[in-house]
Amino acid sequence: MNKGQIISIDLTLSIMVFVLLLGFLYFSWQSNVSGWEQQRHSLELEEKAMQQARNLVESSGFPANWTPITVEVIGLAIQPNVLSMEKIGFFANMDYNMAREKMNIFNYNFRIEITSTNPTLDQNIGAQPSASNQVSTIEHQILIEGEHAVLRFQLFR
Amino acid sequence: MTKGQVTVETMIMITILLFFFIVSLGILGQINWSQQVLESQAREWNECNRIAGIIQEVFVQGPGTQIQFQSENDLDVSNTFLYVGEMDCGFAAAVQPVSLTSGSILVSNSTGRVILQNE
Repeated sequence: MNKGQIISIDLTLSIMVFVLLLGFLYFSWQSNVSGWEQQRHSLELEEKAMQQARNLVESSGFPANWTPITVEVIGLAIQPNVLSMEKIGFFANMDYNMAREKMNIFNYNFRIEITSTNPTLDQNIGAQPSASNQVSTIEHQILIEGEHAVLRFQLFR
Repeated sequence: MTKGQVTVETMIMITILLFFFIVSLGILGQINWSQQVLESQAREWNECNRIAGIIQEVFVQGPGTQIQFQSENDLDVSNTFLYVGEMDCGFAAAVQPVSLTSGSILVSNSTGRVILQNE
């Protein structure tokens, strides 16, 4: 070969390597994108769980004196972190899918456990998550009928 | 071969090179476009969650609560969802449905139901 020349086959091979690297970069990018989507869904689940748990224990719902017939938004509180036994009863006896609709969690399932120093006030409401579900759990300290209790809210899919 | 001519091999090589460059441009263009779309979606999603949080706060705090904020996007609020650009997010509150333009927005609660309005 004379100075300044290139062998065409070498050049073609090097360009092929370059394009293969670009292809690798593209597929890496695509997998990052799907990773971001998954992360967004996880954050969404946590955000929704916090929203719902807070709504249940700090808000009286809408209308404030709601019944199973009139309810638009479910809230269990008489005042923040003090829950109404009557509303808990309404909620516990509500149809599960209706409860999901009123809490605006159509694509999720929920479970609520109330554990009190007085076992007669304990409640288990909703579905049970399985090991394969993605679950977000929020706990609040509350008062029911003057008794200290813990409300554990789980949102899962 | 006489001076000024190229061989068939050279023409084939140039064709292959051109093909590879076009493929490379396509891949880089796709990545660039995808990145721009993702950036826009992330911005809108963050904004959506921020505003949904404000709505939630005003609802939970009860009658007499007001929060004012600035939005760079037009908003569509239904009974249960907030739409910002292509993104949507839900909230658990009683809200008056409304469509709002970007700018200063007041979120208020006087009767238990949350109302959003442009200022």
